[in-house]
Amino acid sequence: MDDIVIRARNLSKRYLVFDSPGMRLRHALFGARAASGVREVMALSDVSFEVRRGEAVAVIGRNGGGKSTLLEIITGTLKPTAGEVEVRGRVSALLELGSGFNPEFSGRDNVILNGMLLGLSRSEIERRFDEIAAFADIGDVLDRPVKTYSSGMMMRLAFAVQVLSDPEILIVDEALSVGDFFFQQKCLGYIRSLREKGVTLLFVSHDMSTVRDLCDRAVYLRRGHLAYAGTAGTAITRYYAEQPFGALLAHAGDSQGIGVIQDDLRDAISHDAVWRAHSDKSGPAILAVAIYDEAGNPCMGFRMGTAMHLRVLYRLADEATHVSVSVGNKYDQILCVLGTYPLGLTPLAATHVGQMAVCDLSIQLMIEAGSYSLEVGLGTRVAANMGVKLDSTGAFGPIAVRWDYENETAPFLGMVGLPCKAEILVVTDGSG
Amino acid sequence: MRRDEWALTFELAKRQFSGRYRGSFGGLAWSFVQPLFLLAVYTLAFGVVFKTRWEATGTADYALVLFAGLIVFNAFSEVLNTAPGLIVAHPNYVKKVRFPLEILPCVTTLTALAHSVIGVVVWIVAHLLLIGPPHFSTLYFPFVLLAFSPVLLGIAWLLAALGVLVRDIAQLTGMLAQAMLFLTPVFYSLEIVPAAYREWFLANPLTYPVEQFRRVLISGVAPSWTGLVCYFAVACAFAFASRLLFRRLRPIFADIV
Repeated sequence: MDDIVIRARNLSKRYLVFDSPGMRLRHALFGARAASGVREVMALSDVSFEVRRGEAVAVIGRNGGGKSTLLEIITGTLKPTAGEVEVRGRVSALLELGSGFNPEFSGRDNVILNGMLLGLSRSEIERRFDEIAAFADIGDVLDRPVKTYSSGMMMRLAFAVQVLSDPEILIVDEALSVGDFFFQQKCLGYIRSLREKGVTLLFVSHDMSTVRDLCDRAVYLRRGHLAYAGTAGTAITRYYAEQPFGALLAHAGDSQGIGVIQDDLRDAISHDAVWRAHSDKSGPAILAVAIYDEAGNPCMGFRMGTAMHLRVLYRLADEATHVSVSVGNKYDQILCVLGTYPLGLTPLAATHVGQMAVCDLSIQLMIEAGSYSLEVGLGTRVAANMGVKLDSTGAFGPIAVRWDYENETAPFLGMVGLPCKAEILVVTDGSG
Repeated sequence: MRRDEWALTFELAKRQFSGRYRGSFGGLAWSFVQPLFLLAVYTLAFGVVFKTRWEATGTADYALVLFAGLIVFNAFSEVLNTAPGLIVAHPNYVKKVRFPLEILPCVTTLTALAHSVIGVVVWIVAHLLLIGPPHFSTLYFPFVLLAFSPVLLGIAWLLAALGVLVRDIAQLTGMLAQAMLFLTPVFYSLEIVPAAYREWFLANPLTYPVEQFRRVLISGVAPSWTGLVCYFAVACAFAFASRLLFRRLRPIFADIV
């Protein structure tokens, strides 16, 4: 049918990693036979799907899944290694914040240049300029160089140019997460109205609620492979089911919160680690600590109230070995020490020398926005609430906890959010 | 090039030209002050200290002769120094938006030519003040610049593409620009070059336009039309080859930048 505006057929993208820049040049000029010392990295393999006119399709997946690569290929900035993509209609892409902007030029100049890049003529842009300026709503700064803009202002302007340039296909890559809540509202509202006008939307987001609201179909990419293409709901369910924390933390309710370690998990932690042991100490030791957000992406900044997932790779002692995490504030005061002991989990002891284990901790960050340090420790219990420290990472981090206090209602005010329930009852006087 | 690409090239060149001095107090005046200042220094060094003379004329004449050659040379060195970083400096244009990268070298060439035209204006004013009205043949200068421009374009395409793959090129071009300043007959005329070396100097692609430029500005003679056409033809072939290479390498920019 002719209704198909994006058709991707067996798309693959292979990145070549060269040992030396000279080989890269030889490879580019004389082809593969002339070069040696080349390794291949597959970013996308054999991905096929179709998008019909007027559809809104989300692309979801973990970091490194190939989402951006796919979007770049569809936009036309990247050439696929194999397969082909057919795109019909004027594409407008928001791949990265203010990506087409020249930081030295004023906002006004950038609007004109960006519009021309999108294929509008100068007079068309001038005719729409007021509309664009009104949508961006950033006032007088429009005449100042873009490099002086905050990321929010840049986002507003970039979005305004893109959506008002009359696209037939709009591609948005996570860019919306920058602006404040009200601008996001405005953008999502506008995207919705574009959809009604028959604009096709291709959308990358980690925010599943937006995906669910905005898209009817979704493409789920896992490590460059198409894991699922179909209705948004099913794709989201699959995505969540395959999250790395689903598996391990599912045990958290049992007495044993610690699963069996697998090699690829160990590698993943070492790869994502924000803290690593410097030397190969023997005996019980913390080997690596990785931190993830709720979606399972390595992360050091969190929204207040969301969960921080800590994954600790450590070597067990002969006795039962507990893992603890202390959270410190900027005055170097310890806010809280959490871990397997206070949670009442049964700790593991080594059954053979050098045995390793992984401990997953999910900490809900009900603490005031700001920077916090972390320290992970290993210990054994000698008496109630007393232990012997076996190893410690020392303070590392910081992690950032963020909240937009100006525009969003905070779940609590002050330093910590203590668990609290409330009820309001009307007192009726006897006469009533 | 399509029409909208031309329009974009023109817009970008306009902005690059006016944007260069944006934020400085002097503004566009720097476009005039810089060549004048360099001219004063060169005149002092070569005209007054070394007492280089151009066919028995005074210091003021020498300064103007020198300036004429420098106008052509500066266009060359501007392109040489900017081109290797063109693509590398705009990773967004490569990866994040669909951008006709081919026009970036055109923008650089256009800006360089615009600076040359300003140079000629400065030269004419200086001539009026120091000597009197310039020759009528000065009006032929755009033809010489036109014949020279494919060389600039070719260099820009070539170096912009290679600069992505071989980052060392940016280091080399600075050296090359310095060397060419002295290996091109700018401070001296081709006639005083010993006959044994003269062929080497003629092989320098800058020599011919510099000589022709002086011919129309200083000697007051129309340029050698056949010479210019031949030069232009060869220059176009070079530019075409460079563009071919640029297009050949274009697909891998996104993987590297």
